[in-house]
Amino acid sequence: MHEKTHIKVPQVIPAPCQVALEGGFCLHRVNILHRAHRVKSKFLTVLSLISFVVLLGCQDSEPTHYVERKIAAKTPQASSLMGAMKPGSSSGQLVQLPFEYLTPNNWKELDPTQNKGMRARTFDLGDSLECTFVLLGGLGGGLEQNLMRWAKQLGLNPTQQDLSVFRSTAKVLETSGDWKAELFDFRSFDKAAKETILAAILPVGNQTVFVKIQGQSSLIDKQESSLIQLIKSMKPLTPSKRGKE
Amino acid sequence: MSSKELSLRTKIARQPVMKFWCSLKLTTWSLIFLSFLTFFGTLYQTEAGLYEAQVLYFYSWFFKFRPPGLESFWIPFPGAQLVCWVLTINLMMVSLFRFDWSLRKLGILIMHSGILILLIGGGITYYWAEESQLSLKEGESANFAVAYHDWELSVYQVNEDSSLNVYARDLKDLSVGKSVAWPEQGIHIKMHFVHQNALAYAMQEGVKDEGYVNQAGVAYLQAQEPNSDPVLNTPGIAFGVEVDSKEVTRLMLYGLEPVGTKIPLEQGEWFFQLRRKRFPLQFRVELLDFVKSTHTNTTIASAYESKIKLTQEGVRDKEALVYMNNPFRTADLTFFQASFGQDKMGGESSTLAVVENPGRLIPYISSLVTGFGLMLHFLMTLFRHIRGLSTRRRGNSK
Repeated sequence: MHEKTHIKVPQVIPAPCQVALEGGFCLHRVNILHRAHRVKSKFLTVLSLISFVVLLGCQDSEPTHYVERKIAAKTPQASSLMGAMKPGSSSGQLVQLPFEYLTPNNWKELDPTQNKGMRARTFDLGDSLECTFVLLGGLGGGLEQNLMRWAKQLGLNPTQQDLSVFRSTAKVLETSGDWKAELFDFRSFDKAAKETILAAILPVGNQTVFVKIQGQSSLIDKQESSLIQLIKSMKPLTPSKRGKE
Repeated sequence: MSSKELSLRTKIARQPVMKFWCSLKLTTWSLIFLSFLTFFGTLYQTEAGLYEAQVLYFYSWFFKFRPPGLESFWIPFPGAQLVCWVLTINLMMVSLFRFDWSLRKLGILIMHSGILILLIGGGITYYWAEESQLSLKEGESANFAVAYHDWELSVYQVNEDSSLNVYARDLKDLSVGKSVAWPEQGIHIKMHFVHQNALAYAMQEGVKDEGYVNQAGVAYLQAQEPNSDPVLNTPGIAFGVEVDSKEVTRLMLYGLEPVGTKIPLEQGEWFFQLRRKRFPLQFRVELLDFVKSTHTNTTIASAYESKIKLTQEGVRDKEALVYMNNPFRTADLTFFQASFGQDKMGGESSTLAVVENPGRLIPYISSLVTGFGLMLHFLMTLFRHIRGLSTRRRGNSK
């Protein structure tokens, strides 16, 4: 049997325990109530912590609406190009290159904001020939896959062995930025081919640059030295062009 | 004294939950945690870079803390976001229920209010401040800035004046299997996959054609391990466009694509594009002129400045010069000169960093309030001390 004990009520005693004492319950009962109250308090403390974390995590799920307006410079050159600058057909956006280069004298660089598809830069070489820069992340799909894709564009269907042999015919060019470019001439498959591709692949940091000219073999012959000159001039951006203050 | 005689504030402060929130131990532990986070966060920054250190140590609620040199071992640790929230609530509760609200302690109360304002200001900056950039060529103008590393899925139509009517959703709100709707536009999509960092490939042998549409010819995306520097990540996503819960077409989008993929739907033609997040501005910013000075006989820039014009309907045009250490501030926006570029045709472009921070004045206000509180407290203590001295002197002379 429990003995009734007179205990001193502390100043800050939780309400249920006060009731228990006033009712003359035994100490054992008071302890149970006290413990239950403490568990409840801890639960409430944890609940209050969790509540504000959950409330803060709630986010609005409506789409953001805005009207985007970018107006090109009112220069004669820009305005003549504006007619062609429609979303969906051309970009209107400049792809930043992680390198700089010297455009060969007889080549004309087209407005980089007007490039189609994944082209980062396009040069007009005359005679309906164009040279393009495409910049892709990582290995850009792998060397052999890209060679195979280009070969198919020329109607060729080389075997894996043919490709391996073709790879060994690549001319290695060292650029001003100490990068190594591999230059491929697809006439290695067929010396008499009327149409060919002259293309270079070079890794730049964690990206790969594809430089390509496609067209009549006789016309491409005239441009080979200029292409080599362009590739050799490639070097990392000078800090003033790259960085922030 | 019985509990009935206690004031309401004291009664609330003595509730067990409030005891926790009003505890001085909680303040002390929070400050210890903050010092720890600042110290190890700074060390981690040298190893992993600023952004990753911020995300791990300061923006997180909890994180796995790996002591330096013990990579395989980790302990769960509260992040600065949690600690600052706890500290803010703690300070609020202490101010409301524990502090002595007498005139005697007015200085202390004001000083703590200043600290509370600083913590709240930190929260406003964290949750609402946006950093972006605006690149313009001379003569060009735009009414939006572009995020550094946040991406959005933009769904837009082209207006007659060539502007884009955009409805965008943040990439971070998209996940595999999630259905996302543009209810007012009647567009529903279901995500097939989301890669935070990916490589894009054109169609080639050995790859199964899954019928994804893409304007640039991207046929498949290969997930890559995200870079620690998010600026280097290029995301890729694929999803199905649904009408009445039935897939009508499927799209694959890659972050490097300069234009959107056009999809004809019942509601008209819509372009879908995965691109860096846009921050619309209330006005149009035009780059009037960009001037670069170089060091003598070098091409190294010594100084560069941008002359910009802000145009807003119904408001007088504003012109400003932005250069190093001379940002331009308007409303909650600040424009800093960040970098510049020059294309092969000699055209110059300028990049301005745009920071929108509704809480930018709060640190100044907080410092003033805290300083005033401290000064008041010291002056009141000094006056009390002087008064005590003179009373004692009078007592001695008697």
